[in-house]
Amino acid sequence: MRYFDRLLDNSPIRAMIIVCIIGVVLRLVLAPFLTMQYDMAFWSGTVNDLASGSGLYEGRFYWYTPVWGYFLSGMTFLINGLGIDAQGVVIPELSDSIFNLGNSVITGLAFNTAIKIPLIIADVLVSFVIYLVIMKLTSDQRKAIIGFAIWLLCPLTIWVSGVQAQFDSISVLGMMLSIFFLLDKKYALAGVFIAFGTCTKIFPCFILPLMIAYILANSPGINEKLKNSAYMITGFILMCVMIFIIPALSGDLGSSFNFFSSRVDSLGSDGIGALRWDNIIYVMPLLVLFVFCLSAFLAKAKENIDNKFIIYSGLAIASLFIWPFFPTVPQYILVLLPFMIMLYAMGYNMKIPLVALSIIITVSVIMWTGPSMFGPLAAFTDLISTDTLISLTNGAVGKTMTLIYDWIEYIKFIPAILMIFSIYHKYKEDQGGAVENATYG
Amino acid sequence: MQRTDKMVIVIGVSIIAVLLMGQVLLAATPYYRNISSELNGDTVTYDIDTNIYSDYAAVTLTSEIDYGLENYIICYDDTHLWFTGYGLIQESIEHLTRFMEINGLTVYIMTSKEVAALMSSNISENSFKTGVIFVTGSLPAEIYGNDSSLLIDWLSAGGVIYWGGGPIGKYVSYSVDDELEIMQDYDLLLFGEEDVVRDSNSKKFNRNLEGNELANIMYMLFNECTYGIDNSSLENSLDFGFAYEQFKSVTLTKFHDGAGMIVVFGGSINADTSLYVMQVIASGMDYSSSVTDYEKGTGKSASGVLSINEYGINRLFVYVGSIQGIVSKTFVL
Repeated sequence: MRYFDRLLDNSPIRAMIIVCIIGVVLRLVLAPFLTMQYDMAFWSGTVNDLASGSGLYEGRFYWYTPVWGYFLSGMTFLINGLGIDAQGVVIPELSDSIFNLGNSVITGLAFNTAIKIPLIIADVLVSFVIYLVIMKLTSDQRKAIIGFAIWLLCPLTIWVSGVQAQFDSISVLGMMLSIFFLLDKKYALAGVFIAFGTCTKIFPCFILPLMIAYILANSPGINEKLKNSAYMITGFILMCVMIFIIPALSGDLGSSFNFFSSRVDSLGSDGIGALRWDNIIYVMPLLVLFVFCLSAFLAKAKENIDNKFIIYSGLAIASLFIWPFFPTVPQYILVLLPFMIMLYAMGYNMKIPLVALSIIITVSVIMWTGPSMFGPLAAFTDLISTDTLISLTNGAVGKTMTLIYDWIEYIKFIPAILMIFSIYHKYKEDQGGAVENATYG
Repeated sequence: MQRTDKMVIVIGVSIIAVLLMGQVLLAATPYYRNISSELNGDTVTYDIDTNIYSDYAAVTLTSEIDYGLENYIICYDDTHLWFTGYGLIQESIEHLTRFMEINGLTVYIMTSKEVAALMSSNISENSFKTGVIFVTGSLPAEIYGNDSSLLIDWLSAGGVIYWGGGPIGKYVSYSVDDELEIMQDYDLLLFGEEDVVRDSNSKKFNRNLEGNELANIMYMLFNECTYGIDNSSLENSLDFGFAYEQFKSVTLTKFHDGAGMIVVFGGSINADTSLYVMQVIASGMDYSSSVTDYEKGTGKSASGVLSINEYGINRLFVYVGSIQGIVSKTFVL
């Protein structure tokens, strides 16, 4: 750590490069050998369906919005061009009692690595944009590099892109680019990339009202406000059109929203008392009201508008994750991490929330994945046998991991609560300081 | 413009470029899948030419008969109450249709009345070029049951059915307002023997995926035996080796009282398993099929020479894919 401290002071760019190399190498080492088997099987199925001539939504395996599908479309071409096997092998004993491709297909080492390359690149780019945004907010390169390092070396981000192969970092990249462009007063580009982030995974939409409020606060006169808001909305619409035009033209527009609609269908179906992630529907009106209240405050702000935007946006996103039953899948909370990092750079005490998020959510996602994460090791190397994998997955180890995951459901809200508490604590401190200054001049 | 601003704009432009490239590739579908063959006396040369890296299998099959099916019908309408749930039926139809069309098979959806009319027409014209597929788990009263023997007559005369989703022959479907009727002695009616159809709803699978040579060659992985067939006492019956106790997951059996054939898939025909159902249909296999020669490999292109049997009906079945299918083609030699 001392070496890194000295490096930060003496050779900050070298420090960034070293962090970048460590982050990428960690991901590349894990990528081939550990996977979230279910998701990888679905990416394999999508790649094979595309190669067989099926459209994105005609096949069996793809039900997200088309953004990740476009990445997979490109990867399909590259994978076949490079001669990488996308079929995998089947270990049917892994699939409970029903032979189901999602549960029993283990994808190959090269395929695992190839699919994760865009996600690893996205992680590096997110780190870089976090660095640039912190520079904008604080002009402190040391803090900016620390922010860069936290994202790239956080165990959760390493897991999500290096092991699980989920594309939350692509959504976060869109959100961070939109924040950068917003702070840079490039409102059309801000609209383009918040649309990109939202259309990838929906959570960034929670800062959309705050972005409009930022524009209103920063634009003098009604004409400027309208013009700048129009730029952003136009950028937003253009990106949405670009993303959804292919499904619309091929009659798959409804299917492209399946991921959202299938969630809405089951929302709150067990009653508000049930500990289920979809009970978020009951509090959604409150959350929307909360976001609009924050937006109203921001729109009226006269000073420190950049900082207030970051704080209020952090609160808006955090409000999603302060419930015991959400997020349903651990990687959703990745959208909160950049705000913790930016607030840390802005002087908020985010060490404990960051550590809590890194430990609680990473443990949660590891337990959720279970021993099946070793599938590629068992299927394609001699390091563990298939029988060992099956007995780990179906036996006491697998059951214990499931149990731990179930327990963690009850404490997943802690990192977001700690973040909000830290924001409130600093607010009270600042208020106390302001009163003192007023009293003693 | 500052250097950092330029760098971020480059990142943004790159993202948009990647999106556009993915869209172009999705719309243009740049994958070609060409399979051809050439008969040379007692051998056949196959040629696979694709830009898709995948496993493949080429197998020559010999049969004693040739049903010569030219198209296929999936029997379904929403005026009947079926054994299989509506959602699963839709899933079956969607994915089975898609796989069959990708592999060059002509498939239609017909109502029960239309299927009845087709069967009657086939019998009167003595022409049986259409395979009828049932994914509903029960048979419509228009063709089967106490009120109709049309299906039995059609099978006797030479018709071919493919079945999945329930215990074959046990349930008869009437209108949506009527309950399913249970047929007595359905095993005897369809197979000429008792206790052939597994009569239990508890789901059973061959978990080891230990199929026979045919299954391994063709990557045919349909292993659900919930409504499987015990073909140990049946003459003229073929299976793929996957079994739960004595019940097989997939059987092809000559109709005991005539020239037709019953192909039973002993479980759900769903998004995952439709591929394997398609393979059996597309290969043109029947209860007398046997493997004469085969080659398997991995790559984008391949070619080879396989021997054929000097007697019987020979077919070349070329399949690109393994667990997940890409394309297949069958040549009658």
